[in-house]
Amino acid sequence: MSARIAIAGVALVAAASVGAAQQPSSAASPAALDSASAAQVARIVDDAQSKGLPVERIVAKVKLGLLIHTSTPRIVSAARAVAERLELARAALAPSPSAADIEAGEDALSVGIHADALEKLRAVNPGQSIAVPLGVLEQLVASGVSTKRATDMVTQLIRRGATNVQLVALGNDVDSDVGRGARADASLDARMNGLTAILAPGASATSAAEAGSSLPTGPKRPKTP
Amino acid sequence: MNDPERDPVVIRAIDELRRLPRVDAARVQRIVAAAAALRVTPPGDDPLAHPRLWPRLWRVAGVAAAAAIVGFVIHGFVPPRTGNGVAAPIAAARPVKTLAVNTALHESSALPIPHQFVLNVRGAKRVSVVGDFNEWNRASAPMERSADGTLWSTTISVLPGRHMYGYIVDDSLFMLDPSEPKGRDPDLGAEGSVVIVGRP
Repeated sequence: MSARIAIAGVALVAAASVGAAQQPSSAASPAALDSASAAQVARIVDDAQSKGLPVERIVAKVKLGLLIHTSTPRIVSAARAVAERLELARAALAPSPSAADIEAGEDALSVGIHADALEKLRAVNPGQSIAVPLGVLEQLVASGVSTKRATDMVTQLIRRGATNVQLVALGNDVDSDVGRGARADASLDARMNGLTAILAPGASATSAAEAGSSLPTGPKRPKTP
Repeated sequence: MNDPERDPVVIRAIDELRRLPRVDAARVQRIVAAAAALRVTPPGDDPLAHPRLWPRLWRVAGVAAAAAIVGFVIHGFVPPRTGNGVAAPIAAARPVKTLAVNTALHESSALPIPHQFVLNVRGAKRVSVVGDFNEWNRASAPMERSADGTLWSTTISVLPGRHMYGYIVDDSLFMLDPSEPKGRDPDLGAEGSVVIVGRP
């Protein structure tokens, strides 16, 4: 219900205040959803909510579409796409993913990562949140690493007990390297070597987590997020 | 002349120094175990290991670290003024091919951290920052104008990770951040600025 209210609020606020956007992505640039489109979006949200899916992403997508004056059909289509990805992510991350996991899975799917990769990560880390590994996987792919390689590497690191902080640092480091002109694969090689040097070969994820998140991620920097 | 090696004082000193202290066997065991756990050379069956590359890679990592520090320092600049009116977005140095919307860390180990957004825009009356971190809500993060009226800034708590965002100027203009790379929303096809929060 709150999501429906949010949708209605979005439409009203957008209608009241948004003028010409700088980057309209379509010739048809609505200031708000028309009633038919709003009803469509509300149905999408209701449907997702009835399935127990987190719907904030759907609402946020609609808000973004209105902010940048995307065409109404495209906004509705985008809302539907998000809902479908949320459902697909939840299935891939079964049996009981958290809302954060589902949203992270939806993010990953949105950039072209296949559901198989989600299942693989879930399998290697059952019963624990994999929102962070999924985010790092997504970041590596966005940096230019192939989906398969990124999935393999993140999976390996989880098996070897890498902490979330170490995973995040890896993703950030590769992104930084690529931003400075390095090849994504070469950067990943170097960063992986730095990380694997400090990971115990047989460590479990649990024991690494118990060891704390203050472990350095390699030779590159002392500070971690 | 006396031979120093036959000096009884020297001989006693040498004997004293030759006597090894007692060693705690358990402590030695712990040190050996810790060293094994932290060893640099991974086992031969480890698919991630490249022992012969280690020295070179550590050097490369060092250079990369230095480059990262320099880049980070340079990255913190404020974008220059672009004109009298509302600044148009400037093409970012590195476009991001795909958009990773909100790869934020949803765990207690990764709490939101303050991040300052700064925009140089002259002549604006109101500016706010919108992004996936506030669900594109224009009212949630209004920015404050500097004394000279050109810089707008706000600091908000954002989960670490990659975020897409933009600025709303005077309630009507969606602007990108000229100092950050761009990303593209996969569903709407629109561009947004991309920031990675929490990167040192």
